[in-house]
Amino acid sequence: MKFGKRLLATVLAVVLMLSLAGCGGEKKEEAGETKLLWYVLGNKQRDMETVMTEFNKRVKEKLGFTVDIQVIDTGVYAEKMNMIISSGEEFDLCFTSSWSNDFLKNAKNGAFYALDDLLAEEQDFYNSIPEYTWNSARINGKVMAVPNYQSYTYYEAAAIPKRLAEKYNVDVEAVEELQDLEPYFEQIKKNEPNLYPLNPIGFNLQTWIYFGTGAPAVGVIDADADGKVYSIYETDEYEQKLALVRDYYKKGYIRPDVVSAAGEEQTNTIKYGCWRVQAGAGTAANLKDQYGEEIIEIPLLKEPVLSNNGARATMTAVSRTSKHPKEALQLVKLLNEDKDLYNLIYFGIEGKHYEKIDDETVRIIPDGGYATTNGFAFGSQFNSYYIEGQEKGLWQQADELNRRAKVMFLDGFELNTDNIKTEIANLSAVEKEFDYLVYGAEDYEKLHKEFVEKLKSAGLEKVMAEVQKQIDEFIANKNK
Amino acid sequence: MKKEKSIISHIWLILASILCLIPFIVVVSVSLTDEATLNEFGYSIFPKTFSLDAYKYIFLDPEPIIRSYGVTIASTVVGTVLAVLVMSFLAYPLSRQDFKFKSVVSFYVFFTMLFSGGLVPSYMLITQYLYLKDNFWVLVLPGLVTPFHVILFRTFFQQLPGELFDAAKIDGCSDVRMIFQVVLPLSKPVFATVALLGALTRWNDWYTCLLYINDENLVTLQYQLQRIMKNVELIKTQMSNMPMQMMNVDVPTESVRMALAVVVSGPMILVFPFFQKYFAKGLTVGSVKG
Amino acid sequence: MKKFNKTQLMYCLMALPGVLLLFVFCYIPIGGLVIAFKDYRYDLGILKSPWVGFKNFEFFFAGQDAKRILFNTITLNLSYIILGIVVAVLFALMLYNIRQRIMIKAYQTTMMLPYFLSWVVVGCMAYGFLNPTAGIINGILEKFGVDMIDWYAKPKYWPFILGFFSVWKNVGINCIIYYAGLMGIDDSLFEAADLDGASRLQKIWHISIPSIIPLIITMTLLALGNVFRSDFGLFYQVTRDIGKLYETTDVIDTYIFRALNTNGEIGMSAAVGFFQSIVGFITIVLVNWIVRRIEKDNALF
Repeated sequence: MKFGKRLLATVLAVVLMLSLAGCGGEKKEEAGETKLLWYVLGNKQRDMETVMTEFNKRVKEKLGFTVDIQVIDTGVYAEKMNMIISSGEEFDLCFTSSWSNDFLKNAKNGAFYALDDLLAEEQDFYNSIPEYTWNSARINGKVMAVPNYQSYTYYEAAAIPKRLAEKYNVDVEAVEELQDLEPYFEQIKKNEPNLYPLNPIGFNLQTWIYFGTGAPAVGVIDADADGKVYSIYETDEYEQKLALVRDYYKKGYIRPDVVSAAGEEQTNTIKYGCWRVQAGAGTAANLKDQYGEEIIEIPLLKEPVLSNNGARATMTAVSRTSKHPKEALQLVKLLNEDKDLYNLIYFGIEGKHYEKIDDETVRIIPDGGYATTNGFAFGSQFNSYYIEGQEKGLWQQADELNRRAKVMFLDGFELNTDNIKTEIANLSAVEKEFDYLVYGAEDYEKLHKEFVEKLKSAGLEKVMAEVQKQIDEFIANKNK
Repeated sequence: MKKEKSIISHIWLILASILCLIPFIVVVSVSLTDEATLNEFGYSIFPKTFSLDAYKYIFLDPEPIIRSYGVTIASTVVGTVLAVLVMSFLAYPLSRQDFKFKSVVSFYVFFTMLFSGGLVPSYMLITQYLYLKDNFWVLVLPGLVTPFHVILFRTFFQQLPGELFDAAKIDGCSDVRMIFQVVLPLSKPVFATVALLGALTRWNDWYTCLLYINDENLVTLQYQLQRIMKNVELIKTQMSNMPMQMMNVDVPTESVRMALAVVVSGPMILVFPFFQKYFAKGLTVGSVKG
Repeated sequence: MKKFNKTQLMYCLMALPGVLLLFVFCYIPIGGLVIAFKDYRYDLGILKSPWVGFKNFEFFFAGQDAKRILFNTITLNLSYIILGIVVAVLFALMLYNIRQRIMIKAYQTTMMLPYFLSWVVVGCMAYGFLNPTAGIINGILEKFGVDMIDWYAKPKYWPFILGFFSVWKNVGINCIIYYAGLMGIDDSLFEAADLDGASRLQKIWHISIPSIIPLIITMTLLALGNVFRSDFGLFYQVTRDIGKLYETTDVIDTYIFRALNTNGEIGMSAAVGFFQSIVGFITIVLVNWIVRRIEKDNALF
């Protein structure tokens, strides 16, 4: 193996050389011309160029530089950004969120530029959205991204086609929990051969709201302000939920192949009598749009919930590798404040890509070459025109709800996972392994025990102790 | 007697062919079925209804598909030709007992089969030092040498009977002429095999495109299919976290996805018989020797 | 002693382009292996990220499922390797046995078809066949009066189902490799055997198979190097990632995906990749050593 050793030494030397050489090899900018690079996700639009020309004209006028907006296909955005970011490539802005191009992971590993100093000079902009949204963007006390303001409050709700609700006389007002819909399920089972009565996927049947701590299987019940950490899969509520879905499965309300069919549902045809939605401002219109008929949302929790770190659903971050963080933030600010500019990048050019029905409402021209669905990636959604069918005043309502919503008492808590990385990886694996329990297809008693056992041997207790310690510290600091 | 034996072979081969054919027929059948029927009856071997909607949908705007065909064909052809050249050149000395560095280079090639630095360093190299991002050559260059194929070449070259080389040497054949007049003609099946394997890998490759290509003009065909599949997957797994508008994203129906699978793999299936020509008998050692 | 003469120079020149390409695209990035021993931070890069020793390896080996996963990975991969080779060699021999050119072409082409379908599509297809309610297989079972089987809830069937798909998808391509090997056999050998009055089976046993043995050994050796790596698409897409089936189908690659997908520690996944390489490397070197002792020419290096 002498040869191998020598080879390794040579290779390492070359790598070193190259990485040193790399420091001097960065692309040089043409003098005076600043052009920012911004990655967002979405579907590429045929007429992007026309829109960008106009967009850049206006940005140049207002801020004195231009932008290159690179749209990356939604499904591969996370994978691509992972490469771009972990290889330290130079860019200025990117879309980041909890569901694609994970904000938490990136921010913790130092991918983003801390914005606090820059934001200090932009007090008006900072104050234009609620403080808790900034808290979602804080990692180790530093603001790592700008939330793209949108509706953050939602109701856990059961969706039912209006047509069916009327046909089977569902008293929507009287429904308080899913169990109240049982007679309806029975009717569907008897009379609608093409429908399964209930899609159990996604329903959170707890009567309480728990605060996700950032560690799998560990939560805090928001109502108890003492911050006591629970193992959520060992609670009575979880067991009751399992019993309920099991009962429904046996009664035939749930499709027999629910486990293997999970997640197959993204079509525009209605396959269920009832399914779960996260209802918030504008969902009704969205649902109608999706299914082509009216859908009723029945709230299952009385008060609207402000999801913990909800603002992480849509954010824009400035890259650590950016040479122009200041300009980058200016651009983000501009898109949040300049409605016309925002609508330009969202809807394209009037007359060509959309037409106005009235001052605030637009209709997208089919085959116009610019019909995006990624408006949320560019700035505050409340800047946007209403799309035909959306109720006017929706944004004001949603904004008001956002501001009125009760903020969870642990808001701003961020788990430091340094000491429990190993356990977290193993807990995630166990959690995923048993996620099919909530579909009701199996007798759960034995499996549930096994689940809890496995969580324990994956280090649940150590994680709970660590989380508890950090939460206690957080509360102590807060009360100071 | 002879006939009976080959009948048994035929029966087995027919069975295997049917097993391989059915799923493909199902794919075609699904692509020709409309969504409502699919929802009701699921997959079937023969389409219950017949509709070309899925294909119409794909070719509504044929430009991207045609462009991708171009990119895929170009990268497959250029890549395969270069790869076969480079690898056979590399493999030939490795097959010769008299090559001084035989074992060192063999090990050098083989080592890369197991150890790789992972995606991040390769990505850094290709984008930041070689500047190959959004460049056609990134679809060709990184995969030119596949250790497995080099080893295939080498194994085949080694099988060539040694007497042949000796005879040629005695005839005063130079090393270079020997390669062209003795080795090449005898190795057609290997060349065809490796070319086919290489062409298939290139045709099916979408990950390189995912990593390095963002320019719509350089997007390959498989990637067109994969990104749609990835969209579906994302919605499936991240449903509860995504903003509502995202859910409305236009996810093509199952028939469209299958139709695209047909469009993507179809041409390669047609090209395949071309390679088969070289698997014919008669290129064998005996004929040359005689 | 081999002299450095013109022939050697030609050999070197021939090998050069390949050697250079490997150097650039494989050896330079190999320095990235150090990530396995680092707490990789984007802002610090590969060189400056702090060393953490073997900490990244811990989560995998300390995990309670490590035994199950290693067992699944090795047994499934080994049996699929053997099965794949046996089936491919058998079909190659059958193809070699028949004379009708058109039929050979037809068989080869159809057997290649599965290779063209990506695992995602194969996964959809498998679901179309196996799904408990509208699946084609259960439809057939029903016709014969057999009870429907909820395939996706019965882990015991899955090693076989996956084995089927693994062989099915690759049989065409592997078959071609062996077939090409058979094509290289010297016809005079068969002629001589005919003169001796050998039966067809005898000819296969004494001529055909021995002549592709080096190829089979090479292919096996190469496959063994990856015995700790699995075809992710097969184990993820075809099983639809259903927890119930992990018992028999969970392998290293799917476990890593599941455990690290959310937290995405680059160091941890690099560590597992490193482990897979090392173990594969040791396996190959060992087996190669054994092969070398038996028949020097068949060894890889």
